[in-house]
Amino acid sequence: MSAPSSHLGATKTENPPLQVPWSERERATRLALAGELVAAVTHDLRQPLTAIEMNLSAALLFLSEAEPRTDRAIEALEDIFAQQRRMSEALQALDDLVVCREPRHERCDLTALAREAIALIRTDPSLRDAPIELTVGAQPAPSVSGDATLIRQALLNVLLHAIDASGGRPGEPIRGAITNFEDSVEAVVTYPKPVEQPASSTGPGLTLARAVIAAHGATIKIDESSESTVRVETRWPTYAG
Amino acid sequence: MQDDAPLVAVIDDDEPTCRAISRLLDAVGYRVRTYTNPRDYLDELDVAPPICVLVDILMPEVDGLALLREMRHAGSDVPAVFMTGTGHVPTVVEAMKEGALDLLSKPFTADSLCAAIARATDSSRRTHGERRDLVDLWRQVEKLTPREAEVAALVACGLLNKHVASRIGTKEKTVKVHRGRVMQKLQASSLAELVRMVDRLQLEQMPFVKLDGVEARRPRAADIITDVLARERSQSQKQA
Repeated sequence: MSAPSSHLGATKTENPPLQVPWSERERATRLALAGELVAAVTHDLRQPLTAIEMNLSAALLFLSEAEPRTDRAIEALEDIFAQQRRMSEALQALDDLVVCREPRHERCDLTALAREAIALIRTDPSLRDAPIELTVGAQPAPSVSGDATLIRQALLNVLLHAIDASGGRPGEPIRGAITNFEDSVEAVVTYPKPVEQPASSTGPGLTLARAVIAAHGATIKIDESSESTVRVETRWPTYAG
Repeated sequence: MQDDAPLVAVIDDDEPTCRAISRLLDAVGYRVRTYTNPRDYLDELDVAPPICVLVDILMPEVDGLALLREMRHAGSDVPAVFMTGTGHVPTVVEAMKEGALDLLSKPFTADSLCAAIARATDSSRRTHGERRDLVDLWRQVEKLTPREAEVAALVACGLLNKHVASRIGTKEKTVKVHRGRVMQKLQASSLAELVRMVDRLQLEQMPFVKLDGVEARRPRAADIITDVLARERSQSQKQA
């Protein structure tokens, strides 16, 4: 078990009280930032929409043949149900953020979500070569409590912020680390501090991440005290069942 | 599904999308192979090449553009139809520059998919036909001796037998014999047909082509013909 970091004396710290409900004040911020999530959700909707169109057309063709292939048509229709559920989940994630509602609290594997966030970044040709290194503690990280879609989005936004902010230091890696603590799991992203302009701890992506993190009773700290790097530390409550 | 139905390869990391597209193409009469990992497709490049590939642009590890580049590098010119879930303009432009025959923006309709696959299939058949003709021509040219190849090129340049004889340092009678063998081996029924064959050899000078997964190499006699043509053209320009 690793000890918590103790060198955050000069950190900008935000520790919202645990389990703060989504307030109307926060809602305005969320609505302003929802566009960013909409872009991600839109991508998540395009795949099932395509699959539904293909399956529907295929089912109609199978049934209109001289000897209808009903078994193939049924397979297609069953797949449509699955894709409809997939779309519902994507929309639910957006709904959870925009509407005043507590996010779902399910068992989530933070390491897997971090890997998925990195994989999503890799699907963008312009970010494919972004040097990201993920280190996972010796012990498998315990599950955390929250909404997997939103947590993955928050981690994704932190990573995108790191890539964006470290743009002036190409070639130096962005390091991610997942570490266990007694009642929480820490996900840290460290990135090279820009040469010409100070590291920015703001920006829509990071603000959206803060909103998601706060809604999960988690915390985020941004440490800019080092001359060479910026450290973004998020800490998520362990799943208690 | 008929065994000789055209084969389409679908490459998309989203398995349900792959399956749904495969199902539709099956319903309209194509044979389909699906790949959720582009590497698996590259590993099978030489095994029964498809008539066209339908490729998602955004995929982890190897994206659609990189896949197409690797295909071309490996000598595959199977027409590609790209799919994209993003309107990212630079990506779309790059896809078209890489030689995408069509680009479908998700979500697309079954009709637009079928139309794109039909266009790709036509293009593939046309290319395949042209390639088969070229390989047939190479097989005939391969039968020529170096001297016959020389005579073929000079005759196709419009030289009379006596001029050909003086060029290659032999008698007109010998040239007549060579010329007769050239026409017979190339199965050319007229001088015009011989000229068309020689022109084609000059136009398409790739060292090899792949036909149905088998590599066919350009014969040495074809190189002799193009070398002689180049030499003749150079001399004509000097004289002019």
